[in-house]
Amino acid sequence: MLALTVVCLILSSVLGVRTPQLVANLSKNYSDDSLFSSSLLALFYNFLFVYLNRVMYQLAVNKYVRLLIQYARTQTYGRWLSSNEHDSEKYPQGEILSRIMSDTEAIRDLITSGSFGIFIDLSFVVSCLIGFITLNKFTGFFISGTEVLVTLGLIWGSQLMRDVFMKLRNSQAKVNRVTANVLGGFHQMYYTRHDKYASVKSNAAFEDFLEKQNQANNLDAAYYAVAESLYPILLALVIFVFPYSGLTEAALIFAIVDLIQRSISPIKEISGKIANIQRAITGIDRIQHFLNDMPFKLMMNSSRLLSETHHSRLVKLDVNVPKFTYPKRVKKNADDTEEVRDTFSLQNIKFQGYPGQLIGIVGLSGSGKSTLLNILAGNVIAPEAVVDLTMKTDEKNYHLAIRDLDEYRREVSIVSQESHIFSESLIFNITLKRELVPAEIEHFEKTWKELETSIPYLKTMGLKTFEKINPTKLSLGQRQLLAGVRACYLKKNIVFFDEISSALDSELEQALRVCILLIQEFSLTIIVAHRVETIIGADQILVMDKGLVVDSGNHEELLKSSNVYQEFIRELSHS
Amino acid sequence: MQKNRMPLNFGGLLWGQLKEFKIYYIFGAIALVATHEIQSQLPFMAKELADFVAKNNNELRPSLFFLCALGILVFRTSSRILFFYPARLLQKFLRAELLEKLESNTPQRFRHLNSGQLFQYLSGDIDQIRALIGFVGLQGANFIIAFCILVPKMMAFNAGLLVALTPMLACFIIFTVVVSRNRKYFKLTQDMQGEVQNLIMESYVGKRTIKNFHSEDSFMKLFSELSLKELYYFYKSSLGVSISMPLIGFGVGLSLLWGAQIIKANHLGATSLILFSGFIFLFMEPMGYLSWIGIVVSRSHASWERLKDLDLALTTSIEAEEKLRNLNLEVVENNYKLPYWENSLTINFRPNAWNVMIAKTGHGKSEMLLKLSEVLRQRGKNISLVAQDPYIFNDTIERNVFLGKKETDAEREYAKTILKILGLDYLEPNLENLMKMEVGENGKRLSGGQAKRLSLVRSLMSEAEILIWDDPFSSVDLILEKEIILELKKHPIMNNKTIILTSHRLSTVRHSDYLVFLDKEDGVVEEGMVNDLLRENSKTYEYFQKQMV
Repeated sequence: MLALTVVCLILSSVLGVRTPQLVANLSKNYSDDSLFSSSLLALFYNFLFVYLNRVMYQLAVNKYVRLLIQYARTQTYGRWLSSNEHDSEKYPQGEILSRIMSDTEAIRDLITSGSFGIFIDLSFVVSCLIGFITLNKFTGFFISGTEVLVTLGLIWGSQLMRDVFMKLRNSQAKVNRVTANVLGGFHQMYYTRHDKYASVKSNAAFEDFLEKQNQANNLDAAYYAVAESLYPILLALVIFVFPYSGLTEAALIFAIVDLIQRSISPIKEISGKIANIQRAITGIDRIQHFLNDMPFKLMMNSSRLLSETHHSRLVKLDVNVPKFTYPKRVKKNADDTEEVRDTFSLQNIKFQGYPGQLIGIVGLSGSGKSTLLNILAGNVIAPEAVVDLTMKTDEKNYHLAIRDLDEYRREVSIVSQESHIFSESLIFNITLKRELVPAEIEHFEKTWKELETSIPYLKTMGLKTFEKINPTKLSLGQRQLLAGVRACYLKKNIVFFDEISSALDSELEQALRVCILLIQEFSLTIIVAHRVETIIGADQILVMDKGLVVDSGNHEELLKSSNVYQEFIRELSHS
Repeated sequence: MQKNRMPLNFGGLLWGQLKEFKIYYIFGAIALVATHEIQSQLPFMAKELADFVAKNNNELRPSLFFLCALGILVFRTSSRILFFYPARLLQKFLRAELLEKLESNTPQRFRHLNSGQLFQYLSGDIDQIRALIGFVGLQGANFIIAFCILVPKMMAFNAGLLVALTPMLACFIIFTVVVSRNRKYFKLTQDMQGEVQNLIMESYVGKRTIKNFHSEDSFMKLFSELSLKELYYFYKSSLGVSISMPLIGFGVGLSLLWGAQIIKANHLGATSLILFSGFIFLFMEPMGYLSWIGIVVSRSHASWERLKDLDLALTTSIEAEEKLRNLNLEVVENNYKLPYWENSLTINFRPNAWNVMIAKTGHGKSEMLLKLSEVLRQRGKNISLVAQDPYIFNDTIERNVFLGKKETDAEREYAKTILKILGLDYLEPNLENLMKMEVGENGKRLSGGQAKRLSLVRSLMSEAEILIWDDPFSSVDLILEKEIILELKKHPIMNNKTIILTSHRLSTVRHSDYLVFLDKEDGVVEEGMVNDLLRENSKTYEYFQKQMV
C-alpha cells in the first residue's frame, strides 16, 4: 500500500512539473497551427493522467490511513489497558478519550490534508526556480532567492505555531475531561438541585478552549495570507532589479511574469500544509508522551480459560504485612505551614491460608479490612507487604511473591463493589474472552446450566448466553452475584470477596452463599464478611480493629475469647 | 444570544446564523471582495509591467505593489477571522444548549444512549457543525465572490471565453452529487465512533476488573473490532470522494484547453493566453477548496440529523412519562400512583416523617423510587434523590455538596456540621481542609460508603422538601448508622422534611416512622406505622424473621 502511494507521489511530481512546461509550450507555439493543436492534445493527456493518478493516490492513501489509524488506536488503547492503574490520576477518563480518539486523528490529518503532497509542491517550486534562472540569470537569481528565503521563513515561522497548537490541544483535552466528568451525572442530577453545575463547569472549560482556538485561528489566517501576498512583492522586485538585469526582450519579461504567477500557488500550498503538519505533530507528541508514561509490557498468553488447562495449583498462602500507611497527603493550611496528617495504617498482620479454606475478615467500618483485601488483591501497592504463594506445577513447588504483580494477579481475583459488569453478552462477561471456539462455548453453556441448578436464582435473572446485559438494570447484589459467578467460572487459586454490606433478600443471600461455596471448592477464599452466616463455618476468622488483627480463630473460639468479636456479632444480630 | 437552535432544520440553522452574526459576515464579505479585487488586478498589472519594461519606461512605482501585498495580507486575514469566529460562537451556543437540555430534562428520555454516544454528540457532532459554518461559510463565500468578480472581468476582456468555464462547473456538479450520496456512511461513522468511545469509557471504569482477570486481550480485540468497523464506514464514505474530488482539477484543466482553443480560433493573440491562464489560476484557489466543502457539508448534515434526533428525544415526553402523568392526574397530595410490574399501585407516604419502603431485591425498589421522583418532579416538588450508586463529580467536597450554587458563609458552616454528623470528618479532621479536599474521578478517593454519605450531605443541603434515599446506610455499620440517624433527627435541618428511603435492615426500619412493604406478586403487602407492623403476626415481622435465619 505504501509503495503504491509512493509511486503515485513520484508520478504526480513528474506530471506536476510537466504541466507548466506544456502550458508554456502552448503560448510558444501559438503561431503554428499544427504545433498548437498537438500541444493542446499533449496537455489534455497530461490532465487525464493527473486525474487518474490522483484517484489512485486517494484510494491507496485512504486505505493506508485506515490501517495506520487502526494501528495507532489499538496500540494506544492496548498500552493504556495493560499499564497499572496508578497512572489514572494523571489520565482521567476524558483524557484517555482525547489521547486515543482525537490525538490519533492527527495522523489522518497529517496524510489527508495533503501533507504528503508537499513533495509535489516542493519539486514544483524547484522546477520553477530552475526556470527563472534559465530565463535570466540576474533576475532569476533574485526572484528565486526571495522565494527560497520566504519559504524558509514560513517553515521557520510555523514552529511558533506549534506552541499555540499544543496549548490548543491541551485545552481541548481539558474540555473532554470535564465533559466526561459531568456526563456521568446526567442520569441522576435531574432529581436533585444542581444549579446547572454541569453546564457551568463544562462551559467554562469550553470558554478557555475557545480563547486558545481563536489565537490559533488568527495566527493561521495571517500565516496563510503572508504566502498569498508574495505575488505583488515579487512583481515589485522585478522592477527593482530590472535596471541592472540587462533585460531587453519583452517576451522574456512576459515569461518571467508568467512564471512568477505560477510559482506562487505551490508556495501557498506549502505554507498551508506546513501549518497542518505542525498541528498534527502536536497530536503525535501527545501520543508519544502518553505512550512513554505507559511502559511497554510483553503480554503473556493470558487466555487460560478452561479450568481443565489450569495446571498451577496453590499449596500455601503466606501473608505478612508489618506496616502499611496510605501515602501521606501533605497539605498546606491557611498559615501556609506544612501539615503532615497522621494517616490511617495497618500493622502487624500475619496469617496463612490453604486451598479450599474460607478465611473471614470482620471488623467495624474503618478497621482496615477492605484496605487489607485490596492490598492482597494487588489493587493497592504496599511496599512493605510480603505475600508469598507456594505454588505447585507438575509436582514441583515454586514461590510467587506479590512483587511480581502481573504473575501474582494471574492467580488471584477479587469480587467487590468495584467488580464491573460490562454492557456486553453474558458469555463475554463471565469468560471475559473474545473469539471463543465452539468447545469453549459448549463448556460455558454446560457450566452455566450446572450453575443454574445449584443457584436457582440465576435462572430468574433471565440471562441468555449471547444477549447483551444492561448493567444499569441489575441491582448491586445481582451484580455481585455475577461477579462471583465469574470468579467461580474462571477458577482462580485465590478469590478475595468483599461482601456487600447492605442486607439482601433471602433468595439472593442464599444464591451468594452457594456461589461462595462453589468458589471454595477450588480456591482459597478470603472474605470480608458482613453476615454471621457467611463466617460461621469459616476455617479462620481475623478480627480487625484500628488496623490491627486483634484476634483470630474460628467462630466458637472467638465467641468465647474475643470481646471485639462478641461485640461485632451482637451488633449484627441486633438488627 | 438566540435560544433553541436545535429544533431548527439545516437551512434554518444556516439562515439563523447569518442573521445573528450579520455584522461579521458583511465585513467578512467586504474583506473577501477587497481581496479578490486586488488579486484580479494583478494579472493586468503584470501585463502592464511587462509593457512598461518593454518600452523601457521607468515610471513604475513599486510602492503600489507593496500596497497590494499589504492589502491582501490585511483583507485575507480579516476575512478568515470574521468567518471563523461566529462559527466558534455557534459551537459554544450549541454545546451550552445541549448541556442545558440534558441537565433539565428527565434522563428517562435519553436512557437509551450510553455515555460514549452522549460524548460524541457534545464533541464530534457539534464540531462538525462548527466546521460547516466556519469553513464552508468562508470558502463558499470566497467561491461566489471570486466568480462574481472574475467573471465580469473576463467578460469585459472577451465574453466568448466564458463558455470555456463550463467543464469546470460540470465537474463541480458531478462531485457535489457524488458526495451527497455518501451521507449514509457518514452517519454510520458517527454512530460507530460513539460506540468506540463508549467502550473506552467502559474499560476505563472496569479497568480493575479487566486487570484482575487478565482479559486485556479480549478487550483489545473488542476495541479493535469496533474501531475497525468505524474506520471501515469512514473509508466507505470517502470512496466516492476519492474518485470525484480530483475531477475538479481535471475540469479546470479542460477549461484551460477550451479557452486556448477559443483564443486561437478568434485570433486574440498570445498575450491573451497568458492573461487567460492567469484567470484560470485565480479560479483554482476557490475551486480547490470546493472538494472539502462537499465533504464537510455531507458530514455535518449527518451530524445535524443526529443532533436533531437527540433534540427530539430530549424534548418529547416518552410513553412512560405520560403514563405516570395520566395515572397521577386525580391523585391527592402524598398519594402516588405508580406502575409496578403488570399493575399499578397507590402508595401513600407521611409528610414530615421518615418513610421506609421494603421489598426483596429484584422486586423493583430502586425503579419505584425513580418513578416516584419522576412524579414528584412532574408535580413541581422540590426533591432530592440519592441513588443506590450515587455519582460524585471530580471536584472538591465543597463543590460536590453545593454543585452550581453560590453558597453563603452560613450555609458553608452548616454543611460542615452535616459532614461531621455523617462521619466524613474521619477523612480529614480539619473541616475547612475537608471542604477543599478533591475527591477524584467519580469519588475515587472515597470509599463507596463515604461517597454515599457525601451524596446524603448534598441531598440534605439541597433545600429539598422531600428527600428520597435509596438504601442510604448500606455501607455504614450499625453503630454509626444509629448515631447518624439520631443526630440528624435532632438537627434543625430536618425540620419540615419528608424522607422516603429503602432499606433491607431491620435497624433502619426501626428508626423510621412509616413503612410500605412491596412484593412483585402481591403489590403492597402491608403499610402502616412501623411500631404497629413490627409486632408478631405481621407480614413485615415475618419478613425480618426469615432474614435472621
